[in-house]
Amino acid sequence: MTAGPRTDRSWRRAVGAVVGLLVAIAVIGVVGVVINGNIHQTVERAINFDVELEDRGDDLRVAILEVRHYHRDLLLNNPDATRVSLWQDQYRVLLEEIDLVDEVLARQPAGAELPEVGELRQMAEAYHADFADAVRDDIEDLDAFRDLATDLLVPIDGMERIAQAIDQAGEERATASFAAIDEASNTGTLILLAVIVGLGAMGGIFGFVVLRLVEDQRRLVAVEQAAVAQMAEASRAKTDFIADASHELRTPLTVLRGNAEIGLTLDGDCAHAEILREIVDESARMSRLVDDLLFLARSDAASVPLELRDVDVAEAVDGLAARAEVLAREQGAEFSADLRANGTVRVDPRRIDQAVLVLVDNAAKYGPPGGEIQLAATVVAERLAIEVRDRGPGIPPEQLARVFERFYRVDGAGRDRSGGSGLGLSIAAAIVEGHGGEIVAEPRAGGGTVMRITLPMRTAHATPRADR
Amino acid sequence: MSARILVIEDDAAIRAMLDRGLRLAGHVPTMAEDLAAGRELWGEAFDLVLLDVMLPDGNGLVLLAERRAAGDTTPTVLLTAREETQLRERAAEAGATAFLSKPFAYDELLACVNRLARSG
Repeated sequence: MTAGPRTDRSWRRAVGAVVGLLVAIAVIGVVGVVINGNIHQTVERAINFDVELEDRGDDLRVAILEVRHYHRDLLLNNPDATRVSLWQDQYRVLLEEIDLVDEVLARQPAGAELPEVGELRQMAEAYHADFADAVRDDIEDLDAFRDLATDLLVPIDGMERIAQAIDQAGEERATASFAAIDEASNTGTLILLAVIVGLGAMGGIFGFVVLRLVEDQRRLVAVEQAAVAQMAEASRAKTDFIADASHELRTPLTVLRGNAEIGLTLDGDCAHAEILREIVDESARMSRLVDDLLFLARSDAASVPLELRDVDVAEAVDGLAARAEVLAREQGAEFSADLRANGTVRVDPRRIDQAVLVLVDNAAKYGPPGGEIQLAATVVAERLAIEVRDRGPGIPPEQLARVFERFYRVDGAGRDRSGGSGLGLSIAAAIVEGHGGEIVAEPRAGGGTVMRITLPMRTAHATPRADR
Repeated sequence: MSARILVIEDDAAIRAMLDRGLRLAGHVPTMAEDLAAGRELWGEAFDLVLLDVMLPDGNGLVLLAERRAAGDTTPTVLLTAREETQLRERAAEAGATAFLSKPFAYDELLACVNRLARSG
């Protein structure tokens, strides 16, 4: 009981921690997915564009250097048809390389600031046009040709610078991409580590909480067991005390009663006879009270001595009605019976008789003189119902449930008039409950009270029977 | 009818009451306050024994069983508490003739004596 709130707090804390970790892991996971997408994009771009641009830029530059090589060959040596043809071939290679670079640049991602290849093409075409005119025919003025050729080395250098720029841009981009991939994959590793640590922490918290709960539960069970044992011990001590006290009361009662009766025998007409009779009566009442207390003490200890046997209901109820009638008439009440039950019950018939007679006795004591008491027996839903109905003053509804409490008396029902111990209904209830049955008090339609005992049956059948 | 009655009872007040009541009815009671005294006195001839069960030096049933084993058939009435049903079985085995539940009525006591005492 003491561990309850602490367990709740532990739970709440643990659930909070686990939820927090779950959220953190989810966020880290989302970041991981985004980073993974970025890596994918970067790798794809690097392969599709950056690296290819670098390669093509390189090739382009080589092609320009080759053009320059054949150009110088024409400049420095005799520009014959073979050399012109070689230069022309290399120029076409250059154009192809420009086309290839153009193709790659067409795929350039948005925002990439790259050198224009259009300018390069114009420069190449202008250079070719200028130089091709000069090398087309047989060269007459070699000096003029060499001047032109020397001049035209300048645009080649210009083209080479552009190609170099493209090559360099491609290289830079590729390097940057690989760095980005590197970084992203490092971040991915960190994220993976974070997730592993998070899951580990979660497992740890779960384990901790489970251990704590098990420990708390064990402590709780131990506390409860101790409490139960203590209560059982207290209850046993109380029962033992009542039993011992009741037992001890018997000896002085025996002396009181015996001596009073002997006194009456010695002289039944003396002035003390009335006093002696009162002593006898009161000691008899006290004897009953002692018996009742002892019975209840035993029923508390769940050891009501029941001698159970199978009993024919019709027969038992007939006998019970006869005894109830005697008891009722002794006290000046009218009596009628309505017996409609058949079948078999497993009961201690003496105890059941005792319980029912307590109800009849109460009905007679508290009812008006000459009032009618009815005993009814029926079978309802496989249960034997025995009712004692009276036309007495009735029991206030709020007190109906309390009448089975020990020494409880309904308001206005005085001790003097009843002469009872206040334990009769408690004993009836203990007997009925000892049989696995129920006892209830209900207001009776038209005034009075119905006390109903229900008992489980072995076999049951309800048949209409004539009223007695 | 006058019967010789051995009363073995540890409570002095009950002993006094029984002595008074039995004498009043014309019987001749002999009192024993514990098991040892009872064992000593039981050697004499009695028409009836009133035997308490819980005695300071032991259980009355032990003495009864001893006497029965020795062939004694004196009618013996156990003074018991009403609810001691288990005791009754053991008492019957030990050879008890009848029971008187405390607190008993004077009439009950006399009826019991008149019914069971061997006419001496």
